Amino acid sequence: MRPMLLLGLAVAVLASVAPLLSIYGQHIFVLVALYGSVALAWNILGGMAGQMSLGHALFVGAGAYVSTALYLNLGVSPWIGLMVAAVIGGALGAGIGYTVFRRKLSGVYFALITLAVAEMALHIVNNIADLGGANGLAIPSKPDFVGFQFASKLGFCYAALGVLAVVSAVILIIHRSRLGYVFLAIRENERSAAASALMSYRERWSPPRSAARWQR
Amino acid sequence: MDLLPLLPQALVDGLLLGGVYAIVAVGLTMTFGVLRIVNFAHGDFLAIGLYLTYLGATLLGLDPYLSLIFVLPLVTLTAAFTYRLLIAPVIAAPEHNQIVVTLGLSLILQNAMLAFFTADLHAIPSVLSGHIVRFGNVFIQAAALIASAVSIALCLGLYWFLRSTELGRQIRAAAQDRDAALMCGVNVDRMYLLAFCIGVGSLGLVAPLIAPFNYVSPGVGSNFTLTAFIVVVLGSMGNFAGALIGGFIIGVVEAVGGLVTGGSINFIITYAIFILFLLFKPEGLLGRRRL
Repeated sequence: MRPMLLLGLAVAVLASVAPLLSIYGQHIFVLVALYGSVALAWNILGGMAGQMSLGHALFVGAGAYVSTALYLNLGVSPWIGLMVAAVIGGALGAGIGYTVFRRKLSGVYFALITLAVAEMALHIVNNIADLGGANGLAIPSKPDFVGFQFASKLGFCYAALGVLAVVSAVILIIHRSRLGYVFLAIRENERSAAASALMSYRERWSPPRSAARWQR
Repeated sequence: MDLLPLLPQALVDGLLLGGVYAIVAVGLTMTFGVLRIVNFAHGDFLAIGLYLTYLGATLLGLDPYLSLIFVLPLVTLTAAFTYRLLIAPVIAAPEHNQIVVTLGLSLILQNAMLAFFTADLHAIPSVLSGHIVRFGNVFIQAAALIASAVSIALCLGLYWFLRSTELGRQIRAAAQDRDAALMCGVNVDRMYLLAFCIGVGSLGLVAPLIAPFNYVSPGVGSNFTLTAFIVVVLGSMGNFAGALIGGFIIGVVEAVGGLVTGGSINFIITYAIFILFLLFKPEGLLGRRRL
């Protein structure tokens, strides 16, 4: 449990530092936390399982579009949209991962197909008028806690820190679990992992799912 | 609207576009076939060539076709330095590391061009721009026709070079089996350098040729990189004839798809073809890898 304690401590320190920063500093804080979360999510598949994905933009984009579209069209609070986005992103990751790994694509081919899927999704969304087409969607900027809009930059700092904390915790749990060791085994040697009856492809399509848990 | 009368025009446009794609893809297939390196910065070298052509036009008042004299050597030289500094050190590294290196190079090149030349789009005028050849109801840009003709000639020329010359034989040996080639006295490192210089340097030939009918911007390269990958996979990685055929297929699909669907839906079709190929026939149209 030591890593979890350290994580809690780090989050507490960061949370107490945030109010002391200037507005600009807080802006950087948000960006650091968000980029950190995306990188950590990518690391599950890229670092732990050793599969080079160039298409994670798809999952970030899908999460953002799901929660934003739900909020703008149906008035669903992004707090709930966040969960829906994670589920949909996960389903997307599972679907893509299942298809790709069943065909035993890895290395360069895996990198290329993830890139192609993300690019294709970009063009598809660009052609859907209901999703704002090439203009995208904008959330009206007014302070509203239910609408995930905070009055001060500090609110966004804590939201971003919360995302970072959740993603870090999930990764710590995976890292220590059987799944984490299976990922490492696949990275080190896919064939021996498969030979040890680790069910290579079935395990491999889970990483994109966890990676997709990140939203906005 | 009746689309049928426009179909021949779209087909011809697609073939000309395909010629350009093919010429860019041939270089990519060369570096992949020989070095086994996937160069994500491929298109950015094309952008460098285009900017050199642009500089030649604005600073020296040269026509793109004349600036070939210095663009080709400069791009080839850049390729040689890139191989020595970045590619050679990772040639035996895991695939991951190679992808990160070329991807990083691509980002650096794009942002360097952004810093030097700003994000503005530029057009490079030539004596031939606006020059149009007419066949019945089909109009053809003369410059595009030249680029396509050179593309086919380059593919055939490279094929002949690899098949029939001693140097080409050594390059093929290095591509087939690095260690065996070394034992037979082939200077594998030099062959790799040569292959990379030909593959990337050919973009120095492409850039001035497509300059009269293509815009220049820092991001122009990444569009070409992805399309080149699609073409290369479609025509089997490392196969010249495949790159040529794949280029024409993708060109026609984009042009005719654009005519039928409008918007950027034609790109979705292209990506869908690419994804289906990766999933079900990753070895491409022409089957096993051949050089």
